[in-house]
Amino acid sequence: MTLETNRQLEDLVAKAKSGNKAAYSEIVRMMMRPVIALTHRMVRDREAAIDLAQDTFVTAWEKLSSFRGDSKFETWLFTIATNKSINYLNSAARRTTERLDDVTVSRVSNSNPEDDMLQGELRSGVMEFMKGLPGQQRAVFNLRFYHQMTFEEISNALGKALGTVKTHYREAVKKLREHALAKGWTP
Amino acid sequence: MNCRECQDELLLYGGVEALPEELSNHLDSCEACRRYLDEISEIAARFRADSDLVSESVDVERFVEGVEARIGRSRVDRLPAVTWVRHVAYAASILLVAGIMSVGLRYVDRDSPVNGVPPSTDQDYYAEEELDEGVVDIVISDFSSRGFLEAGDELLNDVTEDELKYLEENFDVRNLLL
Repeated sequence: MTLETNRQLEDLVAKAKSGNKAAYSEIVRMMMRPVIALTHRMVRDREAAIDLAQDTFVTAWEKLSSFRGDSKFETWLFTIATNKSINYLNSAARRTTERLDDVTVSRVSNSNPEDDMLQGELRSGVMEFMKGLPGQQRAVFNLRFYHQMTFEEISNALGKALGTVKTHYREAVKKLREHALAKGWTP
Repeated sequence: MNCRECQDELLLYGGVEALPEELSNHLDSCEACRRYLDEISEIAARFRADSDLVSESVDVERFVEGVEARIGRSRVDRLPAVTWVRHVAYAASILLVAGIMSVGLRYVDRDSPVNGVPPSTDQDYYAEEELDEGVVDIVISDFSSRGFLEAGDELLNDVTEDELKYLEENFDVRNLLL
């Protein structure tokens, strides 16, 4: 996110905090894709990911007055989205029906068939890798790897000790390396 | 820092953020760890290139409308009304509790045994209410502060005929005084 975008987001957040719904809708437009990407990487189910992302924005609106700006707004938003995703993964119903999102894997639309194949292989490989991570490890990996959050931010977001967060991430990257080696994706 | 420690740390930072100075210093003099970092960074870049198609496929306006519809029904909009109702509810609760306590205390007072014997009928309650409390106070005061017979004599002089009749009917006064 560029400096200009950050400033724009801060302005919108200030307006939304005073009850401006139009400003909040603009925030939703700006942030919906990264939030959906996060929830989808966590739960790997298209409809659930979209629902969780919408839940995230509704909760963020309801709790907006408690956002003091100690962290970046997007960090705060990702925290809500991650915790909702973890709760979803922990739900008893979900534990028994976890599956790879085939729809997502098949929705590859590059113009070059060879690129399509490589992209499709990569996508299914990423999904397969994420699926193999336990919930908390997946959350830490997601926030750090895809959203560049610091370990301190993740520690605060998930309410886990800094050492625990680092251990989760280290283990996840080790697995990622092993996964890439097994797939022959290393340079 | 040895190579094992360095590679453990590279797992934390490789491909995500700038390396701490200690790691950079080690890498300056270690070819094996530099190769390890390159490998981690390449894998990270490849994985990160997988953009999330779901987020890209979602209709923006439809998504925003969905959120707006839910926000329209959310607690924040109803906050002033909810606060007002909450205050009324608090006030009503306090009045209710105070009322119950007041009634309860009166009931306990009435129902508490007098000399170990609670009033047995409603009629007893009404009879007690008709008793002149001032007279009873004088009776108790005189009775407890004077000699027995003297107090009894003075007591009988002070009370009216009706009050004496009431005391006789309810407290067996003559046996107490004589």
